[in-house]
Amino acid sequence: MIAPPLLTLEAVGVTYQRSIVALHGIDLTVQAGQIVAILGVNGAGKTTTLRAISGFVGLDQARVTGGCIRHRGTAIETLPPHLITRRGIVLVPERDKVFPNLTVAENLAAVVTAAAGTAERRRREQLVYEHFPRLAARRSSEAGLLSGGERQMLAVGAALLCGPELLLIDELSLGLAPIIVGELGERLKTIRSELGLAILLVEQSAAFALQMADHAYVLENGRVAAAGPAATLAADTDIQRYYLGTAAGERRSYRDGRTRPGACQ
Amino acid sequence: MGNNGENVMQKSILSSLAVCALLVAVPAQAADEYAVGLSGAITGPVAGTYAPAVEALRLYIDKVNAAGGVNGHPIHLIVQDDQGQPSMGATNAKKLLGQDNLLLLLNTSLSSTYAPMIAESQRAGVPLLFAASVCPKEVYPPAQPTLFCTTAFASQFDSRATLAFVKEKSGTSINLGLAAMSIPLSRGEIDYAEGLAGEMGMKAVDKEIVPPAAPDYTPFATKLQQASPDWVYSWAPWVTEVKTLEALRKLGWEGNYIGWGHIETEGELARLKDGKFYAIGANALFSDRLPVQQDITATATAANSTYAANLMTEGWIAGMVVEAALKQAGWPATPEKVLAAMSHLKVDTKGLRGGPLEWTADNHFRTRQYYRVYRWNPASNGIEVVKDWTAYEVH
Amino acid sequence: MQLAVNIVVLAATYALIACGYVLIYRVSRVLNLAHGELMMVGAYLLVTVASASALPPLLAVGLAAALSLGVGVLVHLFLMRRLTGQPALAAVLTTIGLGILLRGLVVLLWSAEQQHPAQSLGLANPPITLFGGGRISTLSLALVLTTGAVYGGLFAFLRFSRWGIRMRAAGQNPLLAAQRGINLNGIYAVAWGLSTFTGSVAGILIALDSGLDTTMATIGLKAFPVALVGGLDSLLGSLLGALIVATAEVVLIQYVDPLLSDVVPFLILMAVLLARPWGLFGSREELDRV
Repeated sequence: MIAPPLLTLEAVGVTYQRSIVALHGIDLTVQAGQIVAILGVNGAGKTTTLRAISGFVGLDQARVTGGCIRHRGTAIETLPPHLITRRGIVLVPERDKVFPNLTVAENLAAVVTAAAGTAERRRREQLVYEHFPRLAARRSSEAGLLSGGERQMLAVGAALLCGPELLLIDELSLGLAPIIVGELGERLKTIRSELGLAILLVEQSAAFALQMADHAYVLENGRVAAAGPAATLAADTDIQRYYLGTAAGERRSYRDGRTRPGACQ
Repeated sequence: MGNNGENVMQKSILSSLAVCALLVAVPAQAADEYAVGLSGAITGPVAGTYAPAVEALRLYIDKVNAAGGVNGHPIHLIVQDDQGQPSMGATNAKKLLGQDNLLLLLNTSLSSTYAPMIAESQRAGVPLLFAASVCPKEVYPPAQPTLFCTTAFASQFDSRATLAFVKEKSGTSINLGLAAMSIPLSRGEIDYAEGLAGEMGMKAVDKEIVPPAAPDYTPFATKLQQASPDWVYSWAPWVTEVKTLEALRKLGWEGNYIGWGHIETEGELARLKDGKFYAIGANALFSDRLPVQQDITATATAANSTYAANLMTEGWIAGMVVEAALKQAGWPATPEKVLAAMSHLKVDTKGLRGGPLEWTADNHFRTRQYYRVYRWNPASNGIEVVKDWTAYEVH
Repeated sequence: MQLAVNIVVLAATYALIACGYVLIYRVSRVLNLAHGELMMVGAYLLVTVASASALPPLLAVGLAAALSLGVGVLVHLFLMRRLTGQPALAAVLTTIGLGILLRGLVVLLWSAEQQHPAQSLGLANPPITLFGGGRISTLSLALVLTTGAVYGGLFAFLRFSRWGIRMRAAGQNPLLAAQRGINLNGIYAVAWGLSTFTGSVAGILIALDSGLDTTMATIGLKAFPVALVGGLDSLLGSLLGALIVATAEVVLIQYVDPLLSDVVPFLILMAVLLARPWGLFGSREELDRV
């Protein structure tokens, strides 16, 4: 018998405010140590997928209405966020990713490392400052005063402090200069191989995501429209056209492209 | 802050639930009982003044019933809580007057509840007795036909007796400080005392009016003290009287202080042990050890009462009056018969007051009001009478 | 001099009560309108402790304060926890209901009689003469010192302790806090416990100094404008707000009309809210969440 995968989503549906359906049955698998990217246009359900995995709170007015989310075979879709984090599934959200009125050091101090001892916590903190030396320099500045790149580093750093085996990263590249995105990407890859992390990445920038990922899913209107190894998807001209935004106007959908191949060629 | 409306609404819903559960438990009224209704501030911020009287009245009536009732018939006392709120007082009055053959209605609550209760009772032709709640001016001569009062304190008379006592002790060339709570009744009386002191030749040097929920009385006391009064007089709810005194003492003021002796007086004199604090009142304190007081103590102990026996004089007197009125009204009684009895009633207070409580056709307060002054005697370590019963004719 | 002493005592009283409003609001964005009643319950707990045990006064006060901390935690566990994630208005209305319930319960459990826990504890309260001739009662001095210690302690707790930092984090962004592994309900329970604790300490000291009855709840409500003036999410603000309101109150009693003292907190509140709706030290962006 083989061990269950790190994370599986089986036909997961999510409903907002009891009536707005955001996901219609998503299937997705992340294996240990893998980098998986979720691609899609705005509103496709990428962020919702990450939020469903990381857990909803009452304020979200959202819940998983169907399907099953498993971490190493255990269903986690009804757990509150802090327990999911403590299982090692940690989210770096798209916005509001740091506590703006807390200093960098306090942002890290706020993280709960329930199972880890003091020594382990200190080791992780050291790791964060090693990988992101700019945070060490700004240790006592308020997080609200950091640049976009530094915030992203702090958010990733705080997530690493939680001791993840799966990092969920929502829009790593958004609003950042390409050179910083590149630097962050490299840093993440290093960390991944050092710690043996798996990463589930949500990205609008398909080029960046496919370059990072081992495997990718393309979402459309709350459904998986395509999936496959990142290299395959990167080589797929249709995907390229519909996701790199190089396609001509009238076909708004990847699926349209699939059902009428070559219509625009 | 905008939640007041809801606050009041929820409050009334909740409290009426509480009242239903705890207080009413109205058994179907039997035809062979005297039905008497009461609306009082049994809970709420002012309950401390009224709840002990209600309990005493209840104990007294239980005792009468246990001894065979009045004219062979038990008294059925129906108690409703109004928390000192006019709206609830009005509702309670309607509810109580809706009972079959209610003979008498009692009010043991704040004066703000009077207007609706007076109106309801007069419409129904049922006499209304103010017991332990301040006597409204309608019970003094010339009295309104259906309104009566047994309560000890009496505006204007109290201040007259107080200042007469002060004059007797220290003459009239004194500085007088005054303290009231910012409620109309207390302020009115202290304003009256200010004028009266002036007429008597005393110098009113300062008058402090303290809001009901002041977290600290020191700022008020500071100002009083700076006016260096020889005497300070306060006619207000007990809290204000005593907290003003205590704040003055903390500031090092050592003058004489006189306040109206509310039901709490006995325990408080012993707590404060202040030889220059005089309490003037119309009820005898339990230091007198009268037989009737021993009776009250025994009854309270037997009933395992919430409140101490020495808080119960006021309610006990009300009970005596209710019993006497019903007895005189005979059986079967009607509100008219009770009213007729109350208009010519003389009740022996057995020493709880300076003399009998007597009502006539146009005096529903009492024909004679008696005052006594007590204080704590540090030398003998006990309560002593400083000035014995002094009578004031009420015309 | 006496005037200054009076101002400091009143300001300390208000500040000690007001920090409870701030703690809960800051952490969970809930306006606790039952704070006055909870502080009253704390003071009545002392009455019970004092009559049920022969503990020395300081221990009795400590025990009552510790019990009140438990009361705060229980209020969260059995009541407010169910409202986590509900609109703030629902929670605020619940606290109003709780306040009414507690007022009724206090009368039922302890009667409406004036209580003097200092007497049953055998605690003397002699006045102390200060430099410059001002006088302060021992317990008022204790109140001022306690307020200083509580604020010092809270500042240190929120700034340096891990739980304190988490409380601030939860107040800023509860969702992110949860995603960082923070158990929101645990944090809220701590906030309710601390808030009830500090309020009860104020209630206990007031009761020891000048007796206790059910008007205590109203005193608690009088400190509410103080918290609003300073800004509901700022401890520094409530300290300053307390000083402003107390100064105005004492000065008005002394030089203008004692009757104004009752409305002053609310007048200052209105003046401040017109100029700075988020309070003197509050954060501007928090307004829409009230």
